[in-house]
Amino acid sequence: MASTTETKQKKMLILKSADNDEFEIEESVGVQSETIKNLVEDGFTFVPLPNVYTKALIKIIDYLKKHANKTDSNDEEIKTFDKDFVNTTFDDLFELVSAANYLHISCLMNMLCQTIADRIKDKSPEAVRKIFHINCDYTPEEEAKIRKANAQAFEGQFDESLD
Amino acid sequence: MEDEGCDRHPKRSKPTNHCQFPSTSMQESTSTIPILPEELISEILSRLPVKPLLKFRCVSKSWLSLISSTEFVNTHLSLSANKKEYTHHMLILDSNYMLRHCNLRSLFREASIRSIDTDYPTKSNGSDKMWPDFDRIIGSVNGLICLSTENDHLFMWNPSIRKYTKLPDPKPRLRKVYWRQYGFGYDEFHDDYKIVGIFFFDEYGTTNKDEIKIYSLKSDSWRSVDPCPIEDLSIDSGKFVKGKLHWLTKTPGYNFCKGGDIISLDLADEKWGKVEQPCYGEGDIELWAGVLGSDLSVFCECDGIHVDGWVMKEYGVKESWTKIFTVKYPDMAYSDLKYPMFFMSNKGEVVIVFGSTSVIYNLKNGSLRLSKVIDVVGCHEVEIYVESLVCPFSTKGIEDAAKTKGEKAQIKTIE
Repeated sequence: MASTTETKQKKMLILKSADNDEFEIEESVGVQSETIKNLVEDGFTFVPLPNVYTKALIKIIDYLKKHANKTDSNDEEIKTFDKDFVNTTFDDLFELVSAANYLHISCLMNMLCQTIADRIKDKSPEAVRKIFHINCDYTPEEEAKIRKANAQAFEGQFDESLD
Repeated sequence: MEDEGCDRHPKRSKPTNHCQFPSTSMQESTSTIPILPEELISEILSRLPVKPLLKFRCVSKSWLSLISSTEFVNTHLSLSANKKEYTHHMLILDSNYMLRHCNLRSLFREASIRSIDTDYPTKSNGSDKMWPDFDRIIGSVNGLICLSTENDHLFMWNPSIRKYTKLPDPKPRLRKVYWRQYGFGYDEFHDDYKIVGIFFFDEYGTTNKDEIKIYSLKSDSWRSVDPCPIEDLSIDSGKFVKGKLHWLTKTPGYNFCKGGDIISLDLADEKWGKVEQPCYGEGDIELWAGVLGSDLSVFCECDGIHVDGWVMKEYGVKESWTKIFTVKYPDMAYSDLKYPMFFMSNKGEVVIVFGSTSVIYNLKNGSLRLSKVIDVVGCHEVEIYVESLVCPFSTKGIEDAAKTKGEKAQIKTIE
């Protein structure tokens, strides 16, 4: 079921998501992921990805296809694509960053981590807790102490929004 | 970092590090809430500047311990140092003896920029000082700056986190020191920050040669090292490249440098070495050393009209010296600061900082533009540092603080 016979030069792979959806992609597109590359080198053409859900996988396949066709002339086009790609909710970005990490796609990892960092930079600690789904485990006294010790970082206004 | 690639479920986290019960349920499409493992939190946070990181110490205990860990501090440093746009680099310079700083990226982008105050260690807090200290910036490494003050006190300071430590007196062999100069660097082999002090004595003679001492932060003490094989070093601070400090040597009969070898001192094994210089050509030249990126460089001022920038692209290989630019002195800058330092951007541009005025030279097409820090006057000292969380003297400071009058003595946080 793996590689089709009529296209000899274009080797194909099947990726299977955690929710059991299958996607056929060209091998040359898939091997931008180190994880997939290693499996392909071991002779696999069917790649189960138990840690990547369909929603994220669809986006990541889009990304891989776009970046596989990188040339000197479509630099701007790819930039626009990347910009759209990261223009989503924090929860989606977290899904994507987990998937990119599992798949070992370093350029995508870097872009996603930088995007998240840039978006939380000016936020308040309270907003960041909500965004990352973290409960504050400091007592009010402990928190006040930390704030005092880092007083310079609390100068100015913070962004309280969650997007 | 151990289990790279395996068993990393996007919707599960290490239970020890995260609280998993958010009070709100805002997720529309997914039923589970994506909670990131610490490894990925670290990947994200290591891309932030210092200030938000200090702020996010109060997000949770696990974030505090992550941001404070040595591994994170080092990862953050190396990412910050390699930022393409120099967003995490700062230019520090003095204005009427007060140290101020501004973002290096702005310098590349704008024709006129403003600087902001720093809380440097000797910043006068009012009445107790008759005149401001004249601080010399000895050098910068890993976000730390080494300062020497007019009354010969030495400080190691991290301006990004506003922490510093005062270093012990080097106590040169003789009292009458007519000139002292220093170099600051990092000994990677011993993971130690070191300062080299060279003391020239007044009663100069065969028995009163210069003395050279080295300070190690780990041992918090000074000790003597072998004398330098060449007596007449330039008066500039040592330049730190490839684990070694470098000084030009003065040309006999002159008060400045016109050629000869560059002398180096390896901070790990404390051995002296020599680096050959290129042939600078004819004319009345004067040289001084600098650092470009991570390469040793030399400025060559020719006939007082223009400056050539030379870089040793392969350390220790004489043939790899390359002249990368020739820039005429900008009119307004010449009187401001004689010793420029330079730095390269990723887009093939070099910024040559002449005090408050900088020349930005495009290596590809040879074009020039100027950038001025408009609120700086009378600039003598200039250095570039990378914003970092590095604070190698904190534990020592806290121990010392316990001993002295309930107040931090060695290490101080300026608030």
